Amino acid sequence: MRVQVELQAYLDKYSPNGASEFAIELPEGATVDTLVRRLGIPDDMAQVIIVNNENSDFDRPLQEGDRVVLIPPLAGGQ
Amino acid sequence: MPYGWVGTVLRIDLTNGRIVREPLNMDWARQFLGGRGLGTKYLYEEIDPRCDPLGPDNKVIFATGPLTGTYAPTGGRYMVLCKSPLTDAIACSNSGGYWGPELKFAGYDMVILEGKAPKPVYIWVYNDHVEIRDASHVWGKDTAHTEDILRSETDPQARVAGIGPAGENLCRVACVINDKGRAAGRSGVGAAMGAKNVKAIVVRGTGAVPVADPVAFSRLVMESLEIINQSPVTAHALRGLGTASTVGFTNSVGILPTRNFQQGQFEQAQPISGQALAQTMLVRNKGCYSCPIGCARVTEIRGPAKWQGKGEGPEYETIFGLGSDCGVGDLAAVLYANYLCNLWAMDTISAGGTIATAMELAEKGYIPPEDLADLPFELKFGNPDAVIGCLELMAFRKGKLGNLLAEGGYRLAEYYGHPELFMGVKKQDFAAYDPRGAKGMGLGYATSNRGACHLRGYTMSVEWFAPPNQRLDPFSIEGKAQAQKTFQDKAACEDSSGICTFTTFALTPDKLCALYNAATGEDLDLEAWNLAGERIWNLERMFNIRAGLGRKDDTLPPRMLKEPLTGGAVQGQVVELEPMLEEYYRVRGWDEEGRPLPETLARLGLA
Repeated sequence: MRVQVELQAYLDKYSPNGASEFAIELPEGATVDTLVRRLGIPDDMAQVIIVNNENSDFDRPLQEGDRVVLIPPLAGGQ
Repeated sequence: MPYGWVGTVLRIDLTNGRIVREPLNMDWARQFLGGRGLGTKYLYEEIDPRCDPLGPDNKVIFATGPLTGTYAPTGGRYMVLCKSPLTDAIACSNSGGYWGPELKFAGYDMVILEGKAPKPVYIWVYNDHVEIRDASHVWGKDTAHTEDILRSETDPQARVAGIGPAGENLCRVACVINDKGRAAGRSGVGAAMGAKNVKAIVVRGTGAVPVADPVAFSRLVMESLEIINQSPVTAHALRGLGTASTVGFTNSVGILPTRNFQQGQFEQAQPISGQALAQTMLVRNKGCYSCPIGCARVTEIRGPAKWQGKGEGPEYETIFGLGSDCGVGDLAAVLYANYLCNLWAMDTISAGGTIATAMELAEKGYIPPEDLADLPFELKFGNPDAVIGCLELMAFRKGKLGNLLAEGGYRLAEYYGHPELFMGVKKQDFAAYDPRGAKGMGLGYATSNRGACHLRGYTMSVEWFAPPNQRLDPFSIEGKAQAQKTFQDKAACEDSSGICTFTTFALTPDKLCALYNAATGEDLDLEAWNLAGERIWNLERMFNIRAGLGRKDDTLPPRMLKEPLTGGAVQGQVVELEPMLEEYYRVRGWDEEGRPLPETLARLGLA
């Protein structure tokens, strides 16, 4: 199955093609965890996980056409 | 001589030109740590909280912490305290750069400005030499020109903290700018300085700040640097992308305030994101005094833009204030508006919030056509010319609308009969996290002593920015009262110490407490450290209560309480404030009106 991925902020260095948004082919039964490992992102770097606009976690099963946003540790202000 | 301090307060009575040097009250310094806490204590003891914030009875205090001017990482902060012209509550606005350390090198921990100068002046401090000088030649000038001129007539290495035209014109969202691009931004402290006819404090010092245990201090600094350089937030997010790194996240989940908080997602967020900035208009990053992080952005407008220029910024909050909240997705326009705020010295959050309020009032037809007739732009969301045009009206109080904008968003909305369209608390605009998608932040905005503020209790750190198994559900109200108290007290310690709050995204409170102990020679354990934070918070609260504030002011606009967010992961959420507030008062040891109970004051040594 194919899912759409967005890597935010400084996670784009884990992109397979350098772009922060891309599509990726994953085996049936894949979860967010499968995706994160495939991309080589350390667990603690995928801190906020949004799948199809829902707040999700590593165990979330993925389906064809899903859109996954991975967000690293951030903070902001001033 | 005390350690971590240089031991002297510089008191200047502007009415009669009297300059007094007095010893720093070390009992107070121990009880209230420094900076924010110590400045609050002086203010609490010395002014009537019911005074007119723009009158001669208000005082403006420039306070440093015991770590300011040491080589602790980010040990370069100073704070400007007064009764706020914007909120009528306590103001304490925090800035980095190099001015704070320079003041200590000159031999002063604090400057207290009293009274009102009969004509515009600036203060020139060179070690023991302190002089009140005429400022008529720089009155009306922007902060960059003012700094260049005042340095040329004092010392080329002097540091300048001062106001721009907005502060001179008593605009209630005016700030104090130092080193051209660093701001003590919030609560209108620039207007309080302008009301005293003080353009700037120019400082040059050649001394140093002694630390009590240099060996332990050096070891702790090295350990701290290693932690900061390994933490993803400080080493990657803030250094690489600045605070603007957050735009993509808040927009994705749906808490990037857009068009005066009518939406939480902005369709043009990408072009004004931290990544877009880094790829297009970023010149380099920049650090303040002794800062290993370097979150500041030096930028230049590039490409065929309508606006040109270079300067510092934008921060995440600026991208929201002058960008998404006004519906503007043009990065060049946001940068240009940011530069204007630096030059005219206005808070980018509250300036943006005020303009967004005006835009919604205009779009809903609540501003009569005659008040908009002479404007050279259309006052509507998405129009960058309106943002830039309103900044000018506001800073220079031009025309009827300019005069109203200069009063800030609350007074503007109230004047046109729709105070519910002001998005903030205690007359101060919200920062860039829609609290409907992080309810602890909602409680934090409602209870912040200086009016709506994200830095007073940054529960974002546990509501979103934490590993999923350590997170407090952002949509739940459970545990948020205790979390707010913890974060509020923690931030009070951080600010008071003289370091930058961003350091603490890497350093835990025990590390900071250890740095404080090694610098001052005190021996606080973590419990006493946290208690000092609670003491500071309660003293600020007591100031506000004496100023006439109370439970009625600990609230949120109806939009936050009743109108659900419509997009993203936060869809359908509102803030259930009342139960959180009641629990918060209990956790704080306050009565149902939000007044600290006698036993709470006794426990904190404030009775």
